[in-house]
Amino acid sequence: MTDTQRPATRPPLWKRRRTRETALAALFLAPSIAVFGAFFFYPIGRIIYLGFFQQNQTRTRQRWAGTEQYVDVLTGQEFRDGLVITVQYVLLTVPPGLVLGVLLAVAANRRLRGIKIFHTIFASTVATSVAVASIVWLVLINPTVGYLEVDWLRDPDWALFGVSLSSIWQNLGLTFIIVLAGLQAIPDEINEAATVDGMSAPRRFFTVTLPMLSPTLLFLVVVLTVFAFQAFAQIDILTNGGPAGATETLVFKIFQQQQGGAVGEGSVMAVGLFVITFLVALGQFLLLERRVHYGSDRA
Amino acid sequence: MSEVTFDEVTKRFGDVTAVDALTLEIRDREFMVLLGPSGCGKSTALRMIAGLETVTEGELRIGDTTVNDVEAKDRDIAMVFQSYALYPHMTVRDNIEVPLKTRAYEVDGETRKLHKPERADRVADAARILGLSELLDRKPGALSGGQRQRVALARAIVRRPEVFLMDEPLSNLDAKLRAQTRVELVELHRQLGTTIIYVTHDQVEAMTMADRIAVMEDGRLQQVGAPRDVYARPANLFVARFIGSPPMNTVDGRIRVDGGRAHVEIGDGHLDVGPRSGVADGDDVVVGIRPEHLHIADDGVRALVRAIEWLGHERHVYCDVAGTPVIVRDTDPGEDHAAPGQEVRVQAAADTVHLFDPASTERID
Repeated sequence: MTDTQRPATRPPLWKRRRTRETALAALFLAPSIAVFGAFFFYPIGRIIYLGFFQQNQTRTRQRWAGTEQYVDVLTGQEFRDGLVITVQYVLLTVPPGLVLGVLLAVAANRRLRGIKIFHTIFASTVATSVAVASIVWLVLINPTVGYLEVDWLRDPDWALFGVSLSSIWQNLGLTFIIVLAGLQAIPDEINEAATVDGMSAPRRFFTVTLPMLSPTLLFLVVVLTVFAFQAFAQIDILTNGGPAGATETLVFKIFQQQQGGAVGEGSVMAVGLFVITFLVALGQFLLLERRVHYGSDRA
Repeated sequence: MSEVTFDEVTKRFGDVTAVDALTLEIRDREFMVLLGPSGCGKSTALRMIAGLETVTEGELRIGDTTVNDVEAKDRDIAMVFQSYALYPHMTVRDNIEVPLKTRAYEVDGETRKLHKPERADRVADAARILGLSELLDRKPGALSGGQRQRVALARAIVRRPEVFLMDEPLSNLDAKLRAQTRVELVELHRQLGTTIIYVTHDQVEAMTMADRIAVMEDGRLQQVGAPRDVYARPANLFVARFIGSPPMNTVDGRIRVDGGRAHVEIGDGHLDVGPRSGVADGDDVVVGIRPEHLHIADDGVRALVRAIEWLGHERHVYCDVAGTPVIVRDTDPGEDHAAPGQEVRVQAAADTVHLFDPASTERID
């Protein structure tokens, strides 16, 4: 075959095949791209965009505020206060929630008659909505009808702690289920070998169980931290941000800004929160993963 | 002193009796194999020695000490598990070192925890004995099955315990490596001079490694003895059929005594079994003959050849004798005595024929 016989405009076979494969790949990816686009990329893009504008009270008009608005809001007192309260809330909920979940799972990880009843009870909070959990705790720590007869939710020094109790309780079921699954994945023979090797129960826990549970714990640290950064409903129901702004986390402030018509400022805060949450989660992965043991599959 | 003694030891899990009144004495420095099929109670017996299962009834002693109520961590034993049970997050060095960190040891007449250099020396010794010196910084995930098995052995020997327990440690290895490790384990036993109690369902492992074998079935001890004795004089039908590959042929027959010699009738043929004191004319018996003791002959018992397996160094001739499958192991495969479908006669020397009571299944001498 000579060159003159081949149509000059037709691309070579490999190129045509590659184009066809690309089109096919795009077709397969289209549903995911559509869903992610509509519910993730577009809202993020929109929030970043709105952060450059200021709206009037009725949100009928907006004017360009530029990057100055980002600088003003993210370095402002309001954002800093919200961030401090959010970090306090993370510290009050994540470590105690994790420790409690591990303790409960270790206690329930036994072959005893009727242990499934305890598994169900301990895991039950996972099926409870934030609203129900908040109402339960609203009643429990009510000074007149409550079980604890304290007025934490109206005391600026204790309000965040009161809200944290509700969150710890509500997330405990999830933590318990995941840690229990992690514990049950540790082969019995490993624990038996540790016993025969002369380890006491506490030593076995710290030397064998905890390292083998580390991938599970890393996952939980990241997930619970992200949950805590995003907490809103329990604050709204239990304290409505009060008293005196003592429980105004960043998410709550974003909500307030949006309600008050300051869509631009609220959007900047939302972008700030997104970046901080993302960096914290990434940092946790990078820092903690060095201490995580992934079992026999990896050297 | 590292004898292990079971004295009427019973272990029950709810209504299930896993070990039933086991009485067995394992001697100091002996390589004892507990042999039996799955669920026979051999692993439970081993786990009771380790302290991983409690004793329901009876007395279990290690040396002169009754250990029924001694916790696993306080017993001077080491165990190699079927899955090796290595700590996946630790290096080989750390795995071997673990028991040295957790226990106190006697050093120059004084019982104390070992210092770091002492631990390092012991780890290096154990690693050298098992050829692991080059692998000490690897993690178990980066080792082959055979290497993992050696690490588990090193973790056991580093303690220099009174008793080693091994729960089917070769079952995860391929056939070639298993054969090689069998020899190495026997050498290791000779080198260490410690009591080894080894659990397996593989009678080849038992026959090749044990000083003595304890055969178990349904939680009960069936026979204890040197491999040669258990093979040559099985105490009952279970042992007769369990030990040996191919297994012992067992066929129903009836005793005829004639002039001081006993014969056993099988179908329309008969076998001479010599003078036997334990049987009388007309007794029903189960006749047991090892495949290598049966041969195709001009007289004897009628057999229909079903199939022939040629294995290079021998042939297995599969026959039907009075409706019962029987194997003849022919070690002279050069000569074709039979072909499938052909009717032949099989014969055995009188002193190679075992007789068992069909009711009690016990051996008749």
